[in-house]
Amino acid sequence: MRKFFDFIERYKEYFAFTALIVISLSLISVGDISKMGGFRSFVIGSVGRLQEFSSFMPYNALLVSENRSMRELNLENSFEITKMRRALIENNKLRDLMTLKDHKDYVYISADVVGKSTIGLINFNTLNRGKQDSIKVGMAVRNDLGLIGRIVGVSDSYSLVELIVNKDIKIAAKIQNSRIDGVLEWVGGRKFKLKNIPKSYGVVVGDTVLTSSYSNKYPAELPIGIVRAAFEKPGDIFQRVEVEPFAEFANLELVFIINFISNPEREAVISDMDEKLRIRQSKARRRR
Amino acid sequence: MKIKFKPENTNKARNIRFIVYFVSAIVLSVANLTVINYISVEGLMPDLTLILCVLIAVREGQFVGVFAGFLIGLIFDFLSPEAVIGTGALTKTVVGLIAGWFHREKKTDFIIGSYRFLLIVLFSSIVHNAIYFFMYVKSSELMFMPFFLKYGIAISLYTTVFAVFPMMLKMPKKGYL
Repeated sequence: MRKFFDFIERYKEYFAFTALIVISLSLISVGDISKMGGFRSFVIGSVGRLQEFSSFMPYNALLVSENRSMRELNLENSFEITKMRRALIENNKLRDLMTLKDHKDYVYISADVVGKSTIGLINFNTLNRGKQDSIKVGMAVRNDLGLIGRIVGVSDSYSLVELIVNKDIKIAAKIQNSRIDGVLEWVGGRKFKLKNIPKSYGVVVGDTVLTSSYSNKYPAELPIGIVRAAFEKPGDIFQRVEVEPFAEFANLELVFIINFISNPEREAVISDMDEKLRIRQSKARRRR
Repeated sequence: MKIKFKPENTNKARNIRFIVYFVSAIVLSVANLTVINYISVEGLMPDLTLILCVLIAVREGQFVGVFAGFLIGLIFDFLSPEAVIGTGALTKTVVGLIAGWFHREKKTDFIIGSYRFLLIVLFSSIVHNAIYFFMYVKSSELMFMPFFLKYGIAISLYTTVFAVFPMMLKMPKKGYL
């Protein structure tokens, strides 16, 4: 018996250690932090109050990490906002296009602008639609805002559109409200001039300018732009009307080709008359 | 005439020491849960109660060390809202046993006042964190070794830095009469 007690005395640390480990493991196995007793609740409540009391001190590490998190969140939000803005613009554009389709009188063929080129100061856009899509030379092109130009070349899969921002192009146009007709010419930048409007005709700034039914190249009633200024020049029988186009020619992406070609008979009459006038003019010049 | 009171060997002095240890355990546990947050680095905090546990074990021996470790761990478990009661008690009991191995009668102040104390704290802390993180990781999908190497070693080193303070208190003073 004495030997037994001596043995225990000799290794008491290890017996104590083993007993305490067993107690600890028992506590772990029965311990459930969700079931806090009254005493522990009181203790933890008191520690919580102490923690709250000490929280008035600025905690630099926490502030730095919070600041970093806020910045990251801000960056993410910024991306989200950009995406949402883009989606909003796209949504508005699509809504406009849907409205356009609702009110269409012509058949529209949608096309993406896949290339841009300038040949001798004339701006062309390449569209991803061609003969396979029934595209023909002479068809007018517009986007959701207004007139863009006219098809001047077609291959099997692509077509070339000549933009109206071109000095050689003259468009028969009219002012929507007053129904006054004139000839529209590009004068540079985002400015057109509506010519042949007599001084006696009242032109209101803000009126919409449309393609005229007199045009043998473009379908009638296509929006072109808005009257920005109208003024008279001394000694001139016409007034000067400045028009700003609706379409943004610099960032064209999605356009519509209007499946419309003016009546060939009308074209033939006009070209015949043009030819006759040219011959008459040349004969008159020779006589002189 | 200067009277030098040396309470080392009396029972009363021993009881006073134990009361001081108990109060220190509560104070350091509360400090570990409150103000120590302010010196945390990347969320890592030194374990002040572990230093106390090592100090007691080195000073009082292995037998007292394991009980002190158990009680200190239990106090911390009770005060800490997230702790599962028993985990701190278990790990600190192990610390008490390990640190108690380095107890040498009449050489305790020398050990605490030397770099050995830092090594004991570092070693005890590594074992403590290994057991603690093993239990912590067991209930999650974390891998033990990367987690232990990243946090366990770092916490041990940070704790060892704080062990310099008791070491300096017991360091033999030089250059003073």
